[in-house]
Amino acid sequence: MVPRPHSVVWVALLAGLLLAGAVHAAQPACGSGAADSCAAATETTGPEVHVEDGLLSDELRDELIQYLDSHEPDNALGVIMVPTPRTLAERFAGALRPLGAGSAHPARFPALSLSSFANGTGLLPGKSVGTVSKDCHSDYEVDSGFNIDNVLGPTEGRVGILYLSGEGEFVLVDEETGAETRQEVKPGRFMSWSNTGNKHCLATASEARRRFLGPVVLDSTKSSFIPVVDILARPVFCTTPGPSCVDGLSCVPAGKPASGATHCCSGSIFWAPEEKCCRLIGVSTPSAEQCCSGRMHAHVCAPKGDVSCLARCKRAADHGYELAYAKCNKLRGSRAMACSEEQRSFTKKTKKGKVLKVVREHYLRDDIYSGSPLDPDCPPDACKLSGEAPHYLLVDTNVALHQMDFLEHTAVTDVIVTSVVLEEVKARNASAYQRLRQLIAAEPKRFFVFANEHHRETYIKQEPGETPNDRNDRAIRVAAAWYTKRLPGHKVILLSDDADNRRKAEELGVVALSSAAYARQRAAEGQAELQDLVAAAKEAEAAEKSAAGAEGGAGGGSGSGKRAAKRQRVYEEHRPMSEITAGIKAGRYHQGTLRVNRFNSFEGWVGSESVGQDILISGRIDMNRAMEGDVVAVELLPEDQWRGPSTKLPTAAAGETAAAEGGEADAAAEGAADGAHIAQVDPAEHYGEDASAAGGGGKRPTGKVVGVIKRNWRTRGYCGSLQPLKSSGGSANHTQSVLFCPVERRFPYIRIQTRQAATLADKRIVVAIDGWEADSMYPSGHYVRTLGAIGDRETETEVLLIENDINTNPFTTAVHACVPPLPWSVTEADVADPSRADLRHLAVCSVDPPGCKDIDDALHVRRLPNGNFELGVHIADVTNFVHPGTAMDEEASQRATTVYLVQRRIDMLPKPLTEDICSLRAEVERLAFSVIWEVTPDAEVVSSQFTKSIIRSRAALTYAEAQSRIDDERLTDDLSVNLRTLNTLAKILRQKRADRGALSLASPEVKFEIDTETHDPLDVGMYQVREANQMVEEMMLLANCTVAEFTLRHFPACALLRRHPVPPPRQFEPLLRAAAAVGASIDPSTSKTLAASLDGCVRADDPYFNKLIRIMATRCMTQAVYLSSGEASEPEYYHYGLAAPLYTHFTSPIRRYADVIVHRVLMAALGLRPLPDSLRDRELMHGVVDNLNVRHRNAQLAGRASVELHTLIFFRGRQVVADARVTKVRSNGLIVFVPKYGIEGPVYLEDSAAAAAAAAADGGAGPSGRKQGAAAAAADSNFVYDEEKQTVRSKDGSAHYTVFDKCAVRILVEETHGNRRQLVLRLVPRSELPASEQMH
Amino acid sequence: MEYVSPEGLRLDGRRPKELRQLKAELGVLASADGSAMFEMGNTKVLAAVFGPKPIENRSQEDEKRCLVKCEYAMASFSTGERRRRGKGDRRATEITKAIRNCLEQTILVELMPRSQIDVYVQVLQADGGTRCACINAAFMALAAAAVPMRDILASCAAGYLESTALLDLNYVEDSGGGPDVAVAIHPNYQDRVVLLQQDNRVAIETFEEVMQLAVAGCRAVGEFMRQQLLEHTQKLAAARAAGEQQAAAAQEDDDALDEDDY
Repeated sequence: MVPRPHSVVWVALLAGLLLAGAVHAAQPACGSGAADSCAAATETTGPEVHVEDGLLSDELRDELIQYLDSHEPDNALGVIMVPTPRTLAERFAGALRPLGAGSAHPARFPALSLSSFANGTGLLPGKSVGTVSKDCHSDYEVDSGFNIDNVLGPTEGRVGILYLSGEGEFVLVDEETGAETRQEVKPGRFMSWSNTGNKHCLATASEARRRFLGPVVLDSTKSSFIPVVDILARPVFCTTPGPSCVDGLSCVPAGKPASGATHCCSGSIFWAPEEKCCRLIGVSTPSAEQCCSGRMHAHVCAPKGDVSCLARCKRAADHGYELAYAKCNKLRGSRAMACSEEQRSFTKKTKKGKVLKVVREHYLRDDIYSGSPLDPDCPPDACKLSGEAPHYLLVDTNVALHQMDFLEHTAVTDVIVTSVVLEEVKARNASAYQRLRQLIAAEPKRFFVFANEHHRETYIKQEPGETPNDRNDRAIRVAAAWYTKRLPGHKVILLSDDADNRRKAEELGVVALSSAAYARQRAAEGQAELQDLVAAAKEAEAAEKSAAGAEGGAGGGSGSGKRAAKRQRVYEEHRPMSEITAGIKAGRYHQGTLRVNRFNSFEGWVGSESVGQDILISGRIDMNRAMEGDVVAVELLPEDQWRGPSTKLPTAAAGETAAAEGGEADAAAEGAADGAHIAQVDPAEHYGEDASAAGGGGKRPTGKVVGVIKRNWRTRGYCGSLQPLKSSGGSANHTQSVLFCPVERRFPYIRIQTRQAATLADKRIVVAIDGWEADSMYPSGHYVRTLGAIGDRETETEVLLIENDINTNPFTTAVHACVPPLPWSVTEADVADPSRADLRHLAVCSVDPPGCKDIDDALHVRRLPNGNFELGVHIADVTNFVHPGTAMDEEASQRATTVYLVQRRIDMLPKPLTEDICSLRAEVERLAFSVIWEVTPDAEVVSSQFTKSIIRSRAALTYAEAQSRIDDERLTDDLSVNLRTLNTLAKILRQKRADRGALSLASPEVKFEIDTETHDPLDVGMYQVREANQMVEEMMLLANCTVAEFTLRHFPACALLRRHPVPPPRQFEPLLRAAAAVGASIDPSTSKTLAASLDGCVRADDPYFNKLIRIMATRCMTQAVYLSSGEASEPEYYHYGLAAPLYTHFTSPIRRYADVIVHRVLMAALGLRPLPDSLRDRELMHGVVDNLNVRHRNAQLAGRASVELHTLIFFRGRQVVADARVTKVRSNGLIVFVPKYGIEGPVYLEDSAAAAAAAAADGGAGPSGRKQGAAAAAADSNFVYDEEKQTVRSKDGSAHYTVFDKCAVRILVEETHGNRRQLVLRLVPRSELPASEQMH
Repeated sequence: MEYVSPEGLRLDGRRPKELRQLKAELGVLASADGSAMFEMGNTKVLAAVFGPKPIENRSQEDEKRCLVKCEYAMASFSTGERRRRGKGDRRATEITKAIRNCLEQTILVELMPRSQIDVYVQVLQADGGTRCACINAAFMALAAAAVPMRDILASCAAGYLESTALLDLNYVEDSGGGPDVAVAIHPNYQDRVVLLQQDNRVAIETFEEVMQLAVAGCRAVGEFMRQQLLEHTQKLAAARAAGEQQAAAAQEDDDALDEDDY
């Protein structure tokens, strides 16, 4: 081994030690060096002091003294860093090095400072190793545990001191004998002595300065003495006292040391060479004198008082945060800090089936307040409840879950919601939780959340044998009791619908009421409406349970109670959940979502993967209380009971049959109104019914519902109106049971209890379902609110908005805050932005429907020098204003789309953005996101690029204006020429698309002319599709496809695409059958063949035939949907209708949120902005995309419903005979389509006599549906239905209808009781058709 | 999952800027030169220090400074689901390095050339924030071993969930997908940052806020540790005094016995 310098030193050290040891052994009284003062030590018999003089050379000593004199201690510790010369270091090393390499113990006391000495060469600043302090010193005992016997013989502690200046004596006192050994200290003198059983201190004769040069090193053999303590050899530095020492503050403040110091610290030391100061953590001792005593005794330690504790509190407060670690008992007085800890432990099962014990911390606090100003302890800012409220309500979970409408009423305020209730509601019903949260957020409602689970006094533990439910109930009671105690003069009512809970609460001295009883109490104060809002089922339950029901509720409650007893069960009980789960597993039951027939709430289909096709559920009993959207378990009936769907139009008669089946008299009331519905034609809605017809009247798998797995009851309620009362006997304030008829026919009637039946008779109201018992024909519900008079345009619009779940609330202030202030214009910064192209010189224009204010696309074209064209699509740069994560972005992503109604637009973004800032209006500079292609004159795309831009639109044209510019060859201005070029290119693109197999479908859109004053429709007609429309459409398609490709290439996992799934073949069956009946052939195998065969469906004599076929084909399509590219793979991105492999929505960011997302993805792909994290989050995106699809669909439905409503209003007060086409044939009637008005509905085939009768009746008061139904029922037998040929003919052969036939219908509005109106179609001879209405 | 209720309470009842309950115990292992148990809520870490001692492997010897060796391990029972965790897996290696780095910056390594300090850190119970608890435990153990150090080394994590900066995340919050910023500082040294680690992405403005909070948390942790060290030293002194008295008494007894024997 190559010897290294340090090993040489080690050897030298060892030698020194051995030498010292030998001398010591041989001559106890003397040190090993020059022995001029040996005699001094040998005089005493007490402890030996070994003295070595001449440790330092004279020069060195003088240098050191000078150095120390010229350096004042630079901090309160009185420490001077001393660069130690090598010679001195070596001497020290020789004397003090306690052991060498051969030691049995590894070094506890290793190189430490000694080696650092060795490194020092001369008085080099910065090579500081020792410290010098003045005025006092303390040493510290050492329990080194190391054995130096081998080296030094008998172990003795040694201390080294070097005295430099001043006068004094070193005193060593034997603790047993009290014998003192005194030793004069001189500059440069080194001493060592046995530390065992000795006190040592410095006795001074004068005020002169005394200084010691460290390190002071000690060792001893006391390991047996204090076994529990584990202190190691360490350097101990003396400090001067100072306030900083008192609590051992580690940082040494600059400044003067305090005078009259009496404290000294020792302990663990942290040395910061850079700052030249020591930090220490240690025990403070009261006096310097005792410090020097060589031993530290417990009594000399200052007791640690609360001083430091309080200081800690203050510091925590200074930092503005609270410390949870604080010990509660000491800090009870301090507000925010008090807490104690609980462990909550429970077991859970992992996905793999392992059972785990989970332990969670649970902190209990003292700083949770009652939230009432009546509570003196509650800080004012935590007060949410009103001091003036007559009482506070504390709600139970069952109330919060089921009585939400009641709680939402404005009369219900000052409610305490405990966190246990919140948590239970959250776990049980997410939408109820949302509503509860909204209530809590609503200022005027004064709902206060009391975090009882984290409150020290209200937290309770689950007792053995107690169910979690019982425990939660108890927690609520405890919270109520706490409030009662807390607010002695004030009434706190526990609102609970659980009688048992109420009883137990009363035992605790808490006032408890059921919600019904409370409502009655309030009703007496004039809040009549409140009582209606109490969920009906609970009312009954409460009435039955409470022995002494008050008079009002007893009327309704006991009434229903009696009936319940009398009535036999209508429906089969639902099977228990365990059985259902087992049944589904075993294949006995099938699970699926129920889709109910649009016209009949008791016929539906359950899509089941296990059966492979949809299961028919037919009839009230088999439906067994399931409703639209419920997830149900279905049991298949034996095959001989399988049925086919009805081939009849649903009529009053059919309704009555259903009623008879049900066996309840008032069911007839339902049948009476259950006529077929006149509907605006819906491009893809008819699947349900048509699929049923697709079976060809044959038997379909039929089943019955055995259980509801998940209810899909709407929390927002159902819109509708009350069934007219049979007798007007009910007085105004008497509770009556009435039937409520939802506007949506998929839903059954709902029974509600109300005291305001008379006032509600002609109103549209909202009702929520509470439950559906097996002994009740109808579900029971409760009144929520009134919308307005039936038939009123505003009311009905409100209805259709609610039915389609469209948020019409005004934007919140937070959202408006995100909108830049008006007037807005392009800023310098935008122009200077290098990523934004300045395209203001281009002749851009926009083409939109008339009256369009939210213009989100514009176009340009120009010829390039090489003969190609530059084509540009400019889209409003919405994402420049809507930033991810803002309130506006949140709101827009919730709304997802702008909803267009006939007379109204419900915006996705605030108006200033949609109509001004983003809108690409004419003659103003706007920010845009542009897609620019270079295309050949054959419309082949050569290249494409995307850029943010600034444009100035030259003109905002309507389709009609654009069309006239295209058509008028005389116009040669830039814009017109460009439009013509665009049109030419668009035509080529369109042709290319058609060649690829894109479908050209038709939808029967209508437009209204609206009276500006009354807002009533003046005229209605078919929406004209011009070339200009197709031109714009083509450009947008091109832009969308280009963007889809580009974004997907950059972000294969998070691009937003729009796909159109290939429709399953059976969906085409109605179309094929209808076409076959008239001899046309359609091949739906691919979109290309379909497109071709649709083109082939032409009748020379019937120009409208092709369009009709296309409309019918549209209905066979599936819905196009958005998807995130990460969720599916390549082939599934296909857009069937457009025959495009990739498609997305990019061109309407003002009105569609999907486009906003696509803009963001595109920006990220271009490197303009980073991709927002939310777009990478697959789970989150799934939710967003789902919402987009649902909202998109709802917006469509609402738009259509609005058109329907306006059609109805249009026909109010007028009768029109119109040209119609048969689209469907049924055994008792036809479905006809009126192209001009875009409406479709049933006509019933009648005997001519009956028709005449009906026609006669038209003049008078409108015939009731029942009469008509009876006529239709009679007619039934006279007609023969041929499904194969899609023909129905009368037996006498006088009448004969086939699909696609032309016919004439009279369109009229029938008025019935209570403002109810209904559009009715009647067949009339074609001869009655005025020429103006004829279609060609 | 709702991590912070609108009322401002976290899942376990803390407010966003509160630490979990801290506990520290020194000298828990008799055989180690210094040892400490450190708890942050349900996270429990044991640290043991051996040394300073002569270097074991001469080739690693450094004339200028001592070698700090560190070993981090997670007990297989430390999480609910029993899982064998190797010392060499990526996570363990990373944490080991982080701890060692912190300690090297804190120990006055230049005072102890040619020597070595071994630090063993064992996670007994994991409930989020193990990294910080490990650093704190290692520091306490070093202090107990009287290894000279620059300053207190205090570590604490903070995160950001639901637009709220949260201090000292527990496991549930840690797995909430937000950023997790682990910081260690020297609190008396102008909060000099010794360790800064972060998982997940976060906006820079948010980061500032989270970082500030984490540093404030570190200061509180440091304050707590200082108190604990003070108490510990006091306890030692008291024990010593008691021990001395006992020994004195024992000595007398021995003397008495001796006399009887004669």
